[in-house]
Amino acid sequence: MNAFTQDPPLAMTATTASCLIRYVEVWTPAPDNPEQVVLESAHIINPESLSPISPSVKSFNDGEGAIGSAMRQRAPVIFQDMPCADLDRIRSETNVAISAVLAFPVYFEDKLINVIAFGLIEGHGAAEIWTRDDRDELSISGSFYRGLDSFEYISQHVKFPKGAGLPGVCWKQGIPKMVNDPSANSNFIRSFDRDPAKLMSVIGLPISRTYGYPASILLLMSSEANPLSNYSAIVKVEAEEPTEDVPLPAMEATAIECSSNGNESVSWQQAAIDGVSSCGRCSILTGDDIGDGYHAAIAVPFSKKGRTDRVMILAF
Amino acid sequence: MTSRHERRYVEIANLTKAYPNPFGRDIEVVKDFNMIMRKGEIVSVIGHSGCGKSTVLTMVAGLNEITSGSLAVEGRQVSGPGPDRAVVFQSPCLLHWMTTFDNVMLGVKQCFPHGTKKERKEICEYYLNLVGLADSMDRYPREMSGGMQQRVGVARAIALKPQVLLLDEPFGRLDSLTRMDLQNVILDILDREKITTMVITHDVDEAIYMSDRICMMTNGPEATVGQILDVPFKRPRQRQDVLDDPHYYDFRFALIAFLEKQEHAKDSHVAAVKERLNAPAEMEAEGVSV
Repeated sequence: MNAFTQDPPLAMTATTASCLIRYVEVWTPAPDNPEQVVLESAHIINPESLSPISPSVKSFNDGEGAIGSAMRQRAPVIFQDMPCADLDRIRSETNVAISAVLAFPVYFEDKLINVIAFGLIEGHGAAEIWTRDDRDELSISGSFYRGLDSFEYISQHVKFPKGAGLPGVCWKQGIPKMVNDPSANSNFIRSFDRDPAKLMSVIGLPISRTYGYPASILLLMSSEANPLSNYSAIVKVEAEEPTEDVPLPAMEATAIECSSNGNESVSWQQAAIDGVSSCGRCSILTGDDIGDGYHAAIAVPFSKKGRTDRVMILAF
Repeated sequence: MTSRHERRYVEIANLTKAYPNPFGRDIEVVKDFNMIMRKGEIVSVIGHSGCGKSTVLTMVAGLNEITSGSLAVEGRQVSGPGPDRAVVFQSPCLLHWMTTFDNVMLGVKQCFPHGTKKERKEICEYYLNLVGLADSMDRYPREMSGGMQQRVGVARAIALKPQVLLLDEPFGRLDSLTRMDLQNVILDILDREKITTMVITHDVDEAIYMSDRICMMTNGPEATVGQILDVPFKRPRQRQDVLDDPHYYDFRFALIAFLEKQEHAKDSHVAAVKERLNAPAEMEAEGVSV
């Protein structure tokens, strides 16, 4: 864990590899209709820039498409099989060869604050949705694998009880976790050495809650060839509990719990976190505030015990 | 599977075993072991030597007091030993002054006190016949090989008609051929009798061949379930079919990789537990960072 007491020296190792996430949409609940989400922003993630686009579809109703399904199920969804209206929609509007759409809801406690959709390209990497089954174990209910055939086969037969493996730890602790170099890290138990894709890091995100525990866990896996983003981190933040007087309390980054190699400078990550605290939702940071070597960052908040507790940062 | 009790036939919840530590807090050798077994399921528990596999089994058998947690069979909380949970150990532990038949009859008499002599005799003969010892009922343990003695141990356990069969490395002392032979004998019986079974083993091939599920335990202290693998091969199984399955080596690799990772993490795990044992209690609250 890197103490967030002073700016660490820059370690500029931003990779030039093609990122698995090539498109991002941020949706927010409609102010006048709790059964609907409306588009807040949509961006194509290019190697050198973030290009905003204005998709023709501006809202989704509960249960409609990948976005509405994530909203209804209170869980991540992955759409990758054709025919798929969401894939067609994104491909036609972005002109990018997206091969899967991953959508997941973001909550502050029980309140939906966003639905995030990622467009994933063909490459090496994986995303998994782990859901509690009738034995109180986590099993895979949705997935996206590329270059990980053996890992995919075994993972379909793997179950994790509470506290075991990365999904089980996220479930037990109710907070996002990240593991670097999973082949050597005992907190990531499964092995992928038989596959061509070499995983570099894995992020586990608890999604929504039932009786205080996450209802599902989303695992995002970066490979050497196609990392999720050029830099990823789980940052611990300190924030007051929101009140009527201060509905959007300030957040202070206190520690980078885990991050991939890259520009770990405090200032730009604090700027991304300030974006979250200013609106109480996910934020996208661009422009001069971003760290050297990157052109955009997405900050996604996770709450615990009534206050924002961790923020996931993905920089491109 | 219909009823809830069949789907959650054996429920092991937060099973923990701690031993006193004269220098500080108790040492938890097994911590928060959770498992749910369906009726008729065979579950192997695999892990490094000394990780606590047998501790789990003896707690389930009621032979080792549970420090905390609970165990339920068919929805009924159980504590202490009982004929509903029969155990076969690595060593058959036969009474050497009794014949094969009498060794089996000893338990049958205890479990079926209201049965007639004829009924009890039939039970003993039936199960000795199942393990292939119909012609050796009058032989004494010293007159039999290790494999045959272990067959008597299996017959003695199954003749009690237990709800749960607990096998603690039952093939550990046998040569390869005898081991494979006895594995088949036990699988035949389990397929016929549908007894819910826990098998403790070191052998990954044995675990894949015999089990519906494989529970991989982390290293002790504070050993627990690291990962569970569902084995999709249909039962009854033929060894050659299992070996020929193109995914057999995926399972084998997954198990070995898990054990190797545990081996590599052993020193750091022990150091982390020691540090936690020495740390003030309030520092534990946040858990382990990954």
